[in-house]
Amino acid sequence: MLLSVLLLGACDRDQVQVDGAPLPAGSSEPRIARVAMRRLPPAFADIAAHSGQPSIDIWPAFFDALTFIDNEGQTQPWLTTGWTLVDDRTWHFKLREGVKFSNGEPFDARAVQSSVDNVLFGYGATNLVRNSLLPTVAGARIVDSHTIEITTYAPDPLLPRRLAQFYPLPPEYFAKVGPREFARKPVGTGPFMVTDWGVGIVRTRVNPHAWNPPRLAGVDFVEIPDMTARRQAIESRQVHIAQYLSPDDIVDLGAAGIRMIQVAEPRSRLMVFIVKEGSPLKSVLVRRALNHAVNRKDIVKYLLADAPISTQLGIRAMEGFDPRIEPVTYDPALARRLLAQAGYPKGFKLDVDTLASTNTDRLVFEAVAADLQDIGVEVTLNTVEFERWRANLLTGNWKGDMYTWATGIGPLFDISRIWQYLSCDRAKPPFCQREVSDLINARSVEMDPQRRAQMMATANQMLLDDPPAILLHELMAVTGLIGVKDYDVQNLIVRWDRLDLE
Amino acid sequence: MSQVRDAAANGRAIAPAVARRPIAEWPWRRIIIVVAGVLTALLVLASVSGWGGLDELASRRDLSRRLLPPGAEGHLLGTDGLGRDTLMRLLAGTRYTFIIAALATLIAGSIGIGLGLLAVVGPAWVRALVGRLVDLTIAFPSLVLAIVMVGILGRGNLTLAIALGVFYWPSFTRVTLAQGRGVEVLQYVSAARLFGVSRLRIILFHILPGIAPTISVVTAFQFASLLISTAGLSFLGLGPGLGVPEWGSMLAEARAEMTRAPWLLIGPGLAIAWTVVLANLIGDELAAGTRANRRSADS
Amino acid sequence: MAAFVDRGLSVLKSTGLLSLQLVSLLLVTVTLLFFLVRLTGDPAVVLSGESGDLDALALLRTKYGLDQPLYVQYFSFLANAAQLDFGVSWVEGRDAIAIVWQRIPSTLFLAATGMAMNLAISIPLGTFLGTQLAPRMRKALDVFIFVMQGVPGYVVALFLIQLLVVKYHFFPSVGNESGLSWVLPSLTVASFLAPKLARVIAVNVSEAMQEDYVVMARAQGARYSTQVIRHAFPNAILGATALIGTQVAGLVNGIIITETIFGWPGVGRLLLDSVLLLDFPVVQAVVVLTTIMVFMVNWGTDRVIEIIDPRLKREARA
Repeated sequence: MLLSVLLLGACDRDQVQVDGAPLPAGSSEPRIARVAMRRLPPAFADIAAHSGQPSIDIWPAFFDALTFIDNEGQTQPWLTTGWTLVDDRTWHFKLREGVKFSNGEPFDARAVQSSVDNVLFGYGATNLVRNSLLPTVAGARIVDSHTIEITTYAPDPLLPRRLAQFYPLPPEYFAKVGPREFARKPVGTGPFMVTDWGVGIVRTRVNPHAWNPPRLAGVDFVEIPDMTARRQAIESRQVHIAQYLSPDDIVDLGAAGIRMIQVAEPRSRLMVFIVKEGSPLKSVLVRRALNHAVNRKDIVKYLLADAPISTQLGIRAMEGFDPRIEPVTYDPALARRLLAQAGYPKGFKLDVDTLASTNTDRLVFEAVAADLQDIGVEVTLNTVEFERWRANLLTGNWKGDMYTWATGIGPLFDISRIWQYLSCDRAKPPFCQREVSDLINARSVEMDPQRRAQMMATANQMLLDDPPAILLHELMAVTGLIGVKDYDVQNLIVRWDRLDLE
Repeated sequence: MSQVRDAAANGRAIAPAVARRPIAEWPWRRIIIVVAGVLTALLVLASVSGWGGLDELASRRDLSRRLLPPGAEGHLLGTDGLGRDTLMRLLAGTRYTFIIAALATLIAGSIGIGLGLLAVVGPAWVRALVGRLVDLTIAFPSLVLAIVMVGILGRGNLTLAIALGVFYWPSFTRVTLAQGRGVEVLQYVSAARLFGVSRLRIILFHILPGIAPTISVVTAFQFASLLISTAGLSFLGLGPGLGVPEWGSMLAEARAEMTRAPWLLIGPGLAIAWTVVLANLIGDELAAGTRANRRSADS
Repeated sequence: MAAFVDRGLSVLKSTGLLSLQLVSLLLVTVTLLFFLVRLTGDPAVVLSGESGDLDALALLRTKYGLDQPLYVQYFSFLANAAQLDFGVSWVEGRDAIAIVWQRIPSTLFLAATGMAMNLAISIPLGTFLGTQLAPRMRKALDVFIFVMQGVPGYVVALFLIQLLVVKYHFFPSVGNESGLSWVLPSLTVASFLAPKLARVIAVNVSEAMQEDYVVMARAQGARYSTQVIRHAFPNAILGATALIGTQVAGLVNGIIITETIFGWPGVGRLLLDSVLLLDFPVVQAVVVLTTIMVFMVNWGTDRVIEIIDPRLKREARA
């Protein structure tokens, strides 16, 4: 009898009925979009406590940043309208006029200055945002009502890019309620404003003072951490948008009438070598061999819906990316020869600290491990939870011989974000490439774009000759859409103002 | 079951057909169990020893042949996310669930029987202490703490086995205590005591053999429960590492691909169910045997 | 008067014993947690997030009292735990206990409906199995239930989802929002417990049917159904109540797995998520609260069973 139940469930894969049922109660208001998110920001709207995803998945609905970085990697004005360099360390930013916060407070230089003061030097025992986003900023000064001067400790060519994740706060309201209350009931200049931040759901409605008014009446963000559940949510039409689905879903959901799009994440996947004394990974030949052993073409074709293969550290939209570099060839015979040359004809064992958040991640790593197995390298994939992985990343205390990494080069679109973890200047780098390190350090204070590009090209070539990792592929986020149009994403930041229902 | 004992004590005759559970009406039941048990044991051995190149067969992959349905191209149960044959993976993966569950049973049994024996031969306060420990352990939400332990101490076969075994021992202790006391007061044991035979010898040669039948029943049932729990924890993501074809992890993988390839659920689901049902059946058989023995001993 | 004082003293004594049991249980649990957490290494690093410089780490250590000697930390931890203060969640920034408290109602709801479904399925099914009616259907059902006992609840859940949610859109599978979303999760929870309970009831019913008082009823010409329902059934249920009592404890395990599969916003899923996120304050809060609740429920069901069947009370005393 059990078998009959099993067979019933398993037999035929007919098209799923498109039932066209209206969305269930909760979105009975007509022009509200429902979005299934992977995760809601853990620290609510506390901009000093967190940066990056998942915060930027939802904050731009109600917060605006000073700039934004478009899909070509260019910095564009947003709350600023332009900027000029006064000297090496001083910038003047012109602010947009006529902008108000959702509670009516004006957006001006005073607001920016007090935000800088609060976020960088104010509340909280630790300033996480300062260290990760604005480590170079020394201070802000009001020049006039709509011009703000920002000074840095050292020349920082990336400052405008950094400000793409800096969200000014309304000074009076913030002073009145304090950081914790502000995080629960945020006020920003964005197209929507938060009306309710509950457990697992955030409701936003139109911001009456928006300088950039939206087309919809509101957006509800629902947290559904489980990918299968997210997929089921959009399949059963309970949400309009489902983020972070699997590449495997593209065909099936597409056949079910759901529009599947792939959005480039500014991230690439690689497996970093940790070189310890006596490890086979010390040899350059071994590291090159491992890179030649992986069949990237098959992996991206069958598992990742043709995501781009990584040819170098970073991604295509990065400053300094060299499009002429070809991907490493798949050549297991060459790999074996290199291993033998290096003194390991029989292969060796490797432990990899693996962070696999989704099923697809898991499949990719297993495929790589199997490829390495084919040339005699026995790989054990040890699962590590995200928090522990992150702690290891910070301290450099890895247990294994390699670790997996989906590095983000966002929000700055510059190699510096990756390089800070691979540089020789860290307390415990995975291994040290002194020449490259020095070159990249020099580049980070070089203000001339031509010279920067040249330095990056040289660095790239060095990294190809002496690989610090097995390069894999660039990440594409798969999103499902039904009943909405004009879903526009610029580097993971959704233009919620442009979104509309069909 | 106590009603059975009461009735027997009051001298009422009970037809065997009623005293046994309805499923016992099958005549060829015992044969099935033996055959199934032997087959499974062989499978476990094969998996453990890698006989027949099972591991190699299980890891043969072909990305262009992912998620094929059962029967396609000679794959009886289809292929998984990397194009590996599901049936082969299932067979090769037998050892993981089994070994962890067996290890956990061993740990639970050792702790349980050990404490039980202590309570049987020891003074009254030891008995009370053990009783308290039993109550304490039963009151623990076991899966909760197992999750916490594995999540914090890290994954691994041994960790999983310990995390589970540490909560499954009370049944062993209870049975040891109940049965052991019964044996203890048997006349020949009292006689042995009088002659100054050491406690240890009494335990080894009198009590242990006496409780062995009931212990084996408990072992079978606890093993069945532990199989479910092991696969369950693995399913939740706390089992052995990636790529290891443990049944619980295979089930979790199947769940991720469920809408695309629902047949992937069949293999591991059936495998787990099969072994658990088998263990339960064996337990039933042993229990019936014990009851029969005891009844004949009483009359 | 003396009898009154006697009674009062015994009540006091049993309450005292009860609290002692609970307290010792909690003490062990909490100590275990404390040391487990310390075993993972430096919590300050986990807290520090993206930055990693030594100053930030030092600041964090002072803020969370991680630079105190171990025994000081332990005792202050105990003191806080006694007031149910487990600190602030490292992930959400709210009080850990508040986060847990918020999700308890969902779990309790699931537990209640799951148990109700369990009883609703097992009792009729078990009774039917214990009778002599429809032998072939009975045997088939019996085999089915025996097999179901071996099929883990999570497997059942996955099949239910595949059939009823994906293919036929009968039920939602997302969280706890729409009206029917409780059906499948409760069914899953029930499937962890129902097979065993049904079989035990079946055995008890079939044995009860042989008892004197039923034979008497039969001799007096009562209909079969009356024999079953009015005579055999009540006594069979008595025998099963002990099992129901232990099932309540096993409910917790089923709930954790069910909540994870269905994305149910309860305490079980919170536990798994927090463990994987290494959010120790929440983990501790969940474990302690769950332990207390399980203990209470166990105690409660024991008392209820004793009231229903005073024989058990006498046996326990012996």
